[in-house]
Amino acid sequence: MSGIVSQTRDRLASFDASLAQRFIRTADGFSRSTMSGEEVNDWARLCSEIASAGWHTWESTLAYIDTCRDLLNHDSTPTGLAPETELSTELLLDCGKYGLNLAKLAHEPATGYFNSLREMLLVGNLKYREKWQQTGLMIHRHHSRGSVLVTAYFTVSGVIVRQNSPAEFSCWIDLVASLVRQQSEPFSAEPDRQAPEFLHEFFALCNRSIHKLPWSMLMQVPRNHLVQFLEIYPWINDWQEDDISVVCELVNVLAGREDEVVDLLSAMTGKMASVSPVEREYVLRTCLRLTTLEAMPVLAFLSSLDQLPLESPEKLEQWVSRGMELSQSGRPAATAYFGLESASSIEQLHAIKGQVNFDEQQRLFHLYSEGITGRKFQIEAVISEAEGYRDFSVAKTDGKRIYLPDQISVFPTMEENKSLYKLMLLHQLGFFEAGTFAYKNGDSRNPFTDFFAQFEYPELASTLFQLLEDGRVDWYLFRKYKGIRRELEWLMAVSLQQRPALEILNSRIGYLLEIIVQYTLGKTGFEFPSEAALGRQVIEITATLNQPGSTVRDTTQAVTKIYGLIAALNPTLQPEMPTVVNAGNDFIDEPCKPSLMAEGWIPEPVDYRGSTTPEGVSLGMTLQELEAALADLLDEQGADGASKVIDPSNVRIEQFKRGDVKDAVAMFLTDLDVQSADQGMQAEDLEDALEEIRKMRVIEENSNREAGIFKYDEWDYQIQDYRKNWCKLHEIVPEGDDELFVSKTIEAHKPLLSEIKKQLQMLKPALQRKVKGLLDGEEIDLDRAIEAVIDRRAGISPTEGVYIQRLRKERDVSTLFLLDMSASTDDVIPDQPSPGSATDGEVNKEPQKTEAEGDDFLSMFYADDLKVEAVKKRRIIDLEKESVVLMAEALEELGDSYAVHGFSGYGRDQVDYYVCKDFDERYQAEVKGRIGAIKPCRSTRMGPAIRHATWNLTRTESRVKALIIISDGYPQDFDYGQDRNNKDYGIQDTTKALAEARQKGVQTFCLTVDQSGHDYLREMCPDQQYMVIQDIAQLPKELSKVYQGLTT
Amino acid sequence: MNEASSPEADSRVSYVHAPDYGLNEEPYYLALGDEVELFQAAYDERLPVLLKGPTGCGKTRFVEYMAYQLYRGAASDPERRRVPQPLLTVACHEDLSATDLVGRFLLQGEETVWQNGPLTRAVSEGAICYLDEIVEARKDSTVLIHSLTDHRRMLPIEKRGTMIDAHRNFLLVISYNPGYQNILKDLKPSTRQRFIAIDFDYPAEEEEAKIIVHESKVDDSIALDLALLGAKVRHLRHHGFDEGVGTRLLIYAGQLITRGISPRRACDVAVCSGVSDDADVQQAIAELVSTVFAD
Repeated sequence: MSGIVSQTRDRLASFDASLAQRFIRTADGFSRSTMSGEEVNDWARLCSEIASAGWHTWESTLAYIDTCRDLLNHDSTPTGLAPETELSTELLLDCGKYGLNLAKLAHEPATGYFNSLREMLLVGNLKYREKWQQTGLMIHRHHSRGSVLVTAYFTVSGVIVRQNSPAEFSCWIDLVASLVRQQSEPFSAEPDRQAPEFLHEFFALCNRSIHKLPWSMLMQVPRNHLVQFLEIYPWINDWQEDDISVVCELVNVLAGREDEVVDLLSAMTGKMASVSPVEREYVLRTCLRLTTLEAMPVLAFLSSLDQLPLESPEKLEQWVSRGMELSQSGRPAATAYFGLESASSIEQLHAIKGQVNFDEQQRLFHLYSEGITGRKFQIEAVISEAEGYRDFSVAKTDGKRIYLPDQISVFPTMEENKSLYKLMLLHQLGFFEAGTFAYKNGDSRNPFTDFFAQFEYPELASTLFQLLEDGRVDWYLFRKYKGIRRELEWLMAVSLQQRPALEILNSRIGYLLEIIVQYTLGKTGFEFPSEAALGRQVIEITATLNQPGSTVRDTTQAVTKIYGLIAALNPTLQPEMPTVVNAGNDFIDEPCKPSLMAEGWIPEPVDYRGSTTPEGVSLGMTLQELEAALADLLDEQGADGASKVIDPSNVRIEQFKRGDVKDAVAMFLTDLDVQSADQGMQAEDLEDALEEIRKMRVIEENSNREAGIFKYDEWDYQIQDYRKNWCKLHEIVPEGDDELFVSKTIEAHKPLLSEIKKQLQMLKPALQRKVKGLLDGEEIDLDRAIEAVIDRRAGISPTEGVYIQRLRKERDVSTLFLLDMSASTDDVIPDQPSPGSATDGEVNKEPQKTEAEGDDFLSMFYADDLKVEAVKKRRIIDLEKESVVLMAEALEELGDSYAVHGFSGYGRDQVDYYVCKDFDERYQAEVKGRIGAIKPCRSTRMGPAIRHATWNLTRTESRVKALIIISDGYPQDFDYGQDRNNKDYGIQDTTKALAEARQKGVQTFCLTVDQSGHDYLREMCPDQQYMVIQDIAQLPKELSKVYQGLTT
Repeated sequence: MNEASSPEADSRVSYVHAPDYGLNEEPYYLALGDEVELFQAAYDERLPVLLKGPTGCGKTRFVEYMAYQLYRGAASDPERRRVPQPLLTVACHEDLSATDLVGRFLLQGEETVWQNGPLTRAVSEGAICYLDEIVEARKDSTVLIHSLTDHRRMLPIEKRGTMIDAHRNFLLVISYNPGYQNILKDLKPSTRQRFIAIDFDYPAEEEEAKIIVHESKVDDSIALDLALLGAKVRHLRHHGFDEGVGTRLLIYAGQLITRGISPRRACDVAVCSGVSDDADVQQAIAELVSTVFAD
């Protein structure tokens, strides 16, 4: 042992004993090798120097020695060194010297360096050592206090080199080098993200999860998006290399737009995750095609992936290429199209998918149902919020309504989907046709509930009943309607294919029930995996329902029989039945009462048969009967008559619980016969009762759908298309709290009110209309008679129609007052004009307005009011409310039907629509309270509100439908158009909504108090259908005139 | 003054002819209730009869049937058998005036000749006069029948200044369709209360099927389906066609089917397009057709 070696050993021993031992062992090895003594000394000196280079650098020495030992034993290492690597002492010393330099910096980089070097030796990849070391130096040079970075670099190198091919490793080094070199440039769009941090992140990512990467490919990715890319890499690392390369390319195209790249990459981990590899390739290529259009369409496309028919590329291609065509008109159009927001996009997609939408079929369904059953049903869609998965077994009925899915795209062609829709509907109608609800169970008022209650497990009886009745109804329809036989057979066959195999059912009851389902779906040739005899018996009983003339009573009998069979499965009967149900259940031995509802015994529903429960229908129908009875009573008997017929001691509808509604009806109906006129029930009480029942009905109905939410399209002028289902409108019946407002208003405006009333009363004489030129009538039309005489004298055959008839013209008017409740209506009305200026109020009106008589007179009255008003500061909203109150008071007298609604909201998902008074609601205290409680809220998204108001109006089926909108400014909302400051979007959408209303036979009129209203109202409304009220206090008066103009 | 005997001379009166002008063959009619007995009893007492019911439910056929029974068939007597035209049917329209019913003077060469109207003819010959859709006619013609329909049983002929007593076999029958006439054309109570009213409605499915079989010679199962379709379509009668689809249209469809047209197509042309112009309603009816009939 040379002196140097032993000195070094002593020196190292002062740091750590094991270090010295290892040193000695390695040195021994070296001496026995081809190394010269001098070289061993050099090496030993190097070890000593590294150990003394700084704090804790002995650890680096340890790493160095270990590396050297491996080098020494390289022959015995499994991988060995690549033959081209010149394993020389030189290399050892060279590395040592490099490490020494690092050790002078700190011990960590040196340790990291040696450890990674060791890895490189192990995998035999030393080819790029030089480059690697230089890059390390470069990092050090570029980042003055970069020892941490250098450490990270060297530490992570070991992992990278182990996982990648030499070439890829070289790429990685290049990548790092390029990142370092770029330090002068901004590393990312985020200005506060500094270069070192970026590198840190990069190394950390390399270390954490991504070891193997097509680094060469990453060279294409813009450096500033590298980290983002690496972050999502773990999710895509099993993709085809081609696919990944497309992603890189996409990132490249979008380079520089931080948000969009982030969105793109998160879409890769999000929506793309569920896309199969085959489809993925197409999707990515499409993305690449779309980049010619810009970034947004690509992201929009990715966001709508889950709704696209990815499984059939031809169809998708159709949709995409149509979109590419339409996108010529600009980026917003393309974005809306590929984001499935524009109407044309959705329509195109539906056409391609063969999707049938409820909206388009609704009227047909209505007519069809009425035709089949002769009853009027409300057919409604169940809107499923969940994207992707859709529950199609939602079809059901409550006796008055029939619920169907909002769209069907189960089958590839539209025809098949239509068939499914039709059969779904027909099945529900079949319950009425086949007399399901005609079931009588003795005198029972709840025949079904009582029937099921006879059994120990009513749920089982109820389920059995539903399954058997579904079958009976289908058989009935099949026999009765030859036209649907083929379709029904087809649908049954399709449904049968989706049923689970009998073998896999582990619940015995579930097994028997499944046999019933499959049998009713037309399955023949059963092969029973078990209990064949029982199965055959069940089928035999079920088959009795497939006979002409079978009724619901046969079904209940079958229920009893099959229930008996099931109960007989176990001699100890029901108490242990649940254990039978769950054969193989862990809880078998538990003594506690297990529930029959335990998993797995209720068969999966058959989609097209839906989920109607007879008990539910019973309740719904009962409430309807009760409501109808009360309404009839009020209509026919009038208040006095009704009060005579009803003994209030019997009728306490307010106290009804849902359960005893049945009894209530029966009681009520018998009461109608009792002519006890002792104590009359007040008509108001009766109406209150009716109201109660209606509320109960509403609760009942709302439990079936999301209450009061409507979706409306919105017109986007930038894409020249509708954005489909863009706005979510929430219909709210506000809490009324300010009943005093109405009485105060009436008090304050008595003269005005009487004038308005007087004006509106003038509408009444116009109720009769003279019709001239009749063959007979009350009066002779002199002009025509003279003409006739002249004709006769002249030898021309005279006209015979010389009579005049007065025809009664009924007023059939519904008006909806739509109030703007935006925040701006909170503004205090600017200075009131002096009474003098109010007198010449005519100046303020639109010239084209028809003037009503008696204006001057009226203004005089109003002038008085103004004096009072000027004192208290009124807000615009107050004025709107007052106007409406006055109108309401006047209209109550005229007898026209009207409604008062308000709207506000925030954003497209939250359009609030307040129903203060609906058409069929009485103008009573509660309604007054609601009107009084109107207060300024948030924005003015007019389009959806107008559409909803139009919908409400068309439902009234009145001959004249008028919509009067009272607002204080142009339509606006924070997302009414992409640019908040762009008023055009809102105006254009409102214009469109008004045009739609007119198309549906609704006359519209906009009243605004916004002085700049002319600019946009001129655009929005045709002439004579708007008015800008310059003197705001004129609003109530103008309103009544507008009303006259619109409804006569 | 000569009396022109040919009723065809007046083109303003539309006659609805039974297949056999003189009612020499028994028309087919399937009684649905007690209407035959009622009519017979009414005739025996010479009570004017009002037939109420929708289009195509068999009112006209019923009157023909009864006229045959009373004048040619089992319930006839020799006097009645001698009446050459036992049933005079007038389809009323809005320009039909009293003159058209009673008669008018016509120019013939240098002379004016009196031409009896159908009502006058029936009154004097002792036939049944059937005024179809009476409310369509002008008011003066409805008033005209007042004196005929009470104890007086006479017809004033204003133009000639005479009154003629009704023949003892004469009976006035009117029909009235409460469905589609609007309020303005409602029958006045003073008129209405001179008649006994027999209500007609569409026959039940099996009966309607029998009628269809008889009239169109289709086989029973198709007739049953046609009747089923008829019932379904009638459910929609409040959607723009207040009348529903008459048995007549179903018979037409049946006749097309016997001529080899496929049932769906036959119903398309006879029923769908026949009853409504509303595209949605037509589509709904088409759906009903395709529900009832296989391809």
